[in-house]
Amino acid sequence: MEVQRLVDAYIIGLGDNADNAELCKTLVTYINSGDISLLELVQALGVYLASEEAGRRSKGVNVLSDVLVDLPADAIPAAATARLVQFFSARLADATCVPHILTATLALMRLPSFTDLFAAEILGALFKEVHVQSFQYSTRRASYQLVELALQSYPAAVTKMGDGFVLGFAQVLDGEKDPRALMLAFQIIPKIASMIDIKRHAEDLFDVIFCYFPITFKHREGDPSAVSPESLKSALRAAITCSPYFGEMAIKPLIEKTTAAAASVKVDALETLAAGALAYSPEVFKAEMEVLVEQIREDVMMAANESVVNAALTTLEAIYGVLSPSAPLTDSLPSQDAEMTDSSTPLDYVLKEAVFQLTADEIKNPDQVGKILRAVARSSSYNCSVVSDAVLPIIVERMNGTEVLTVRRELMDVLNYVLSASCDVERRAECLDADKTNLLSIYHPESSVPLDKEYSFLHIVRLKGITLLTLLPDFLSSNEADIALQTLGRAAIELNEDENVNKEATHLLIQLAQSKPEQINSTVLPMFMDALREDMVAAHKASRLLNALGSISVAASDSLLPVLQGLVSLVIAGKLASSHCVATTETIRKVIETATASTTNASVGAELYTAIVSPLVDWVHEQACANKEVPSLLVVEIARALAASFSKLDTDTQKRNLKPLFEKYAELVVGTADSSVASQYQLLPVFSAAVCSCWCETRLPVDDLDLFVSSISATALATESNTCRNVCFEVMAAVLNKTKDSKLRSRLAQRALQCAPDTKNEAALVVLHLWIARALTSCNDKGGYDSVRWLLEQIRLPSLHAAEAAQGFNIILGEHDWAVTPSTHGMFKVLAKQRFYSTVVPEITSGFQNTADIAVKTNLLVVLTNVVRHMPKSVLMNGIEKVVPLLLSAIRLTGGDLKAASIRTITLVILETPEILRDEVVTSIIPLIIASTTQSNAENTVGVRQAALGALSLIPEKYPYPVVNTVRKEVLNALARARDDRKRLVRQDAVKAFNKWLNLGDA
Amino acid sequence: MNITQKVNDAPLVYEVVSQTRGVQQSDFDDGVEDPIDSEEVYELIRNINDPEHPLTLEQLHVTNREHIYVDDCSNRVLIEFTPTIPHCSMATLIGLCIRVRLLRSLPERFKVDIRIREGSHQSESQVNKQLNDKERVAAALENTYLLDVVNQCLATAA
Repeated sequence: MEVQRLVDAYIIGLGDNADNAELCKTLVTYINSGDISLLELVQALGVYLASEEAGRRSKGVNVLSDVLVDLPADAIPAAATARLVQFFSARLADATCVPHILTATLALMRLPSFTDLFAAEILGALFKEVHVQSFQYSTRRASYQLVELALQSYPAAVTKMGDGFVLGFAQVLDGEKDPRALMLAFQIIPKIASMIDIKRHAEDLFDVIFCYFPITFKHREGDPSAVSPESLKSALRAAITCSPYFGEMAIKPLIEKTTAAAASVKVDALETLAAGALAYSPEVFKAEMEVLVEQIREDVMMAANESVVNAALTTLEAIYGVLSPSAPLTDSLPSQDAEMTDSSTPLDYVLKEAVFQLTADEIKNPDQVGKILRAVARSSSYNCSVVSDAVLPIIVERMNGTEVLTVRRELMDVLNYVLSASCDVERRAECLDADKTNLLSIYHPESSVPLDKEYSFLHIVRLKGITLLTLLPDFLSSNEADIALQTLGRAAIELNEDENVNKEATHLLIQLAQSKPEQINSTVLPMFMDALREDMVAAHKASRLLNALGSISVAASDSLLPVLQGLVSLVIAGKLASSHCVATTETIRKVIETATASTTNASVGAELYTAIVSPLVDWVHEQACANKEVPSLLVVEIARALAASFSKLDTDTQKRNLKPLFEKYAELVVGTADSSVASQYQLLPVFSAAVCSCWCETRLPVDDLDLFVSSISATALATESNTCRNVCFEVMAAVLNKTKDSKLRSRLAQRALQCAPDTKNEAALVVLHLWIARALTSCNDKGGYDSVRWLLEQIRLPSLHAAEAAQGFNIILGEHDWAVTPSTHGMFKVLAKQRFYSTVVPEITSGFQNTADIAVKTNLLVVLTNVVRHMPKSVLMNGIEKVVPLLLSAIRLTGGDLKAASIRTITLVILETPEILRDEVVTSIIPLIIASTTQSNAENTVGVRQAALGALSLIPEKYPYPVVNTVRKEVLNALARARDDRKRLVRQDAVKAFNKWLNLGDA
Repeated sequence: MNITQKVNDAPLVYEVVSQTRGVQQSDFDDGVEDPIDSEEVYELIRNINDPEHPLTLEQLHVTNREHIYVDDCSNRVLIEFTPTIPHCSMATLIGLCIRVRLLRSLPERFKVDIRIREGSHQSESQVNKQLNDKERVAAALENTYLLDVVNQCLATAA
């Protein structure tokens, strides 16, 4: 009687919507432990299950279903399964019980005792008795899940049901509107098509599916069902294209949909057709090809929407791909004639129109004609041959018969598309061989065509064609390929009136370098090198050639070393003008930086160092030893190239390579060199770059590090040579920064400072502190802040070198090519910049408030600007409101770069947190900025005026109309004056700002 | 003026060749003066939108670099534009857009003449007269509807 009590309580709970989880759990435990049997439960439910009241019956089934869902498989005996299936199948006719029966059946279907026979029984009842669409979503979902589970686990039952299953499912789906349910249903259809021959009822199923095409719905934000319009679209597409039997029914309506006005519908229909190409029989397409091709042509010619054009061309390619005969072309062409005539009919729809266009007096839309031909040609090797056969003779004939350059260009354009299709299918059409001479003559440079701007398009099209001929597999002989590459090389090198020809030729060479690096290396590179070596090469030409070489070497890894080696030998041979020599070294450096930045492979760095940088370093040393003048810019470029490659070496290799450099240069920095080597001081940046690029773990080849540091510090303070002083400080800073042991680091810093009291060179002492601050503050060492305080003290006193100290804060925080930088393995602790900012800015603020001396104030503002401009935005915005008044003073009192930096910081504040400046923007900021736009004031450099105009154009976006409208007239007047600035860049910014202020309030 | 019905449904669209002037070192040297030249004026007007199509005047070859004449010393600018078809009823509106753009961009010292390129329009002289008549331009700009259309065309240029 316990069971009956529990069941009654359960049923009452159902009526009250109470939580019955506990009761269900108790029943499950009893049945599982054998205290009661499933039969006893059914008997206890008997009153309800057999009740005449629909509600009571439903509750009875509900309890049974809840228990069955939770029961473990072994607690339900096989005999019970059979009875339950029988019972549920019969009860599916009872609409009120259906939701619970489906849930219970899903649970039963997972049991091992559930057989194909049962599945067929349940499915039969579902299809026959249940009108699924009259139920709510959860029940409909359960129906689809049941069907899917049957397909997955009881294929024999499904196959046996055959047509009945197909019809039944079509009836279940008919009228479904919920995207979530549709998603499930669409995923089931391909499975049905793969398991059952749907031939007899294909139409019924297709009608139910296709009525959803094209499917669109608005995805609601936060919808937990997570069905996206795209996934539903692709599920429907998969359903429509899942069976070849759908082909005949789908093609016509799909083609009709391609005429829709909405681009998304067009694209959907075209993409579905493309997907159908793989599933449907080619025969069904053949009948409709004329209409389809016509429609696609219209879409491509209109070119209104790029996605439509792309979808149209992809569809064309996909369909012609399946229409093409599967047998590849053999050499015996005559025997294939019959087949070609027969199967080339669909191609005629494209070819007829193309031929018509190509033979017309004026070729309309050559680009679009070419694109269509390319899409068709690259669908298969066979189609490629047919298209080439049909089009080439016409183009060749017309090219021979016309002298009109625009027509020649258009013909070449179309030809290029056909050739690019040949390259894409990686099989050249046989007809190309027959027309080889003609093709070569088409692309042969025409001496009659002047190389001026009017004809640059013709030249560019010709160059593209030459590239395509070179890319065609086995088409050009090696001699011809060389000539083709030489033509491209010449076009890239020689001066054209239109620079686009040079650019295009270079671009094509870069493309070729990726597929044919050897030929580029052997044919084109020497041409470039010769051109650089020529006498009197103009600077802009040299820079163009170097840029082209740089791009080729970066694009094709096989060309990297040949290009760099070629450039190095040019530099070393001394055939270049001095300025070109620097430009060439700059290109070498940029290429090395790019090549090493994109890889972590140490071997690349080692290879570049040994083959490229090392010879340059040796050469520059020889030059200095021979007392030849070496431009300082050249040395810096070599040093930067060295830093880029040297920093990628491993510690052992670094150590090995440091040794010869120390032998050559260490004497100069530790002050033991005699005057005979004075000429080598200029090479010291190379030494500095090497030492600064070492890993922390790389041991320098010195016996005593303390002595080394104090020696270079002493040399720096004593030397007259600026280069030597800078190098000594850079090396010292790098050594300090990379010393991991903090005690040793402090000791080394002390050693460096020990020489200071004796020095008479106070300016050098300021720089020493600046470099120590750079080295130590970046790794959060407190010694660095001692130096910072010393420097601020110099500014506050004020000392003789206060201005240098203030400007020098740029050394502490600014970028450097190699000394103490992240790329050369400098040690940068997290939050180092935050700490610097929060330590230094309050000192500047208090110093500013406590002095009346204008010179001190100005220097403090210089420090502030230098600090602020090197701070990341996240650091800067924290507490910026305290700094703003000082920045405004800085705008008033400083000039040049510093003033521009202050204005840019204010602009940043306006951009990020405009509310901070809301009260001041009209009263103080705008007048200050307007004053900074005047060109009569020498402090307002181009950079200042540009920064001021940038700030002005931002203000209308960031502040409400009532706030800024009060000053609109003044601003517009000022901007009208700025529109007549003597510098173009300023005028451009003024126009932008003027238009923003003019349209104030329009939005 | 019925904007919804297009005068030229399918205009020829040209490839835009980018020839923007790169930034040189001398651009930051205050000692070197950069006079206003045709290239700069072309930069100001090339991105104006056509009133009918979502295409710029540059893409439609309505404006060309070669058809702009600037004399910075005598404060004169002459712009010739080419309507896409000889009966284009939008010619006046296009001219007005160019004029307004230059009014808002060039220094006030310049006198700007805007003309239809000779032989490219049926009512060339009438349109030229309208475009270079200060009062007619001012009156046109008082029409708020017209001003809205002009502003829309200029939205891409600013």
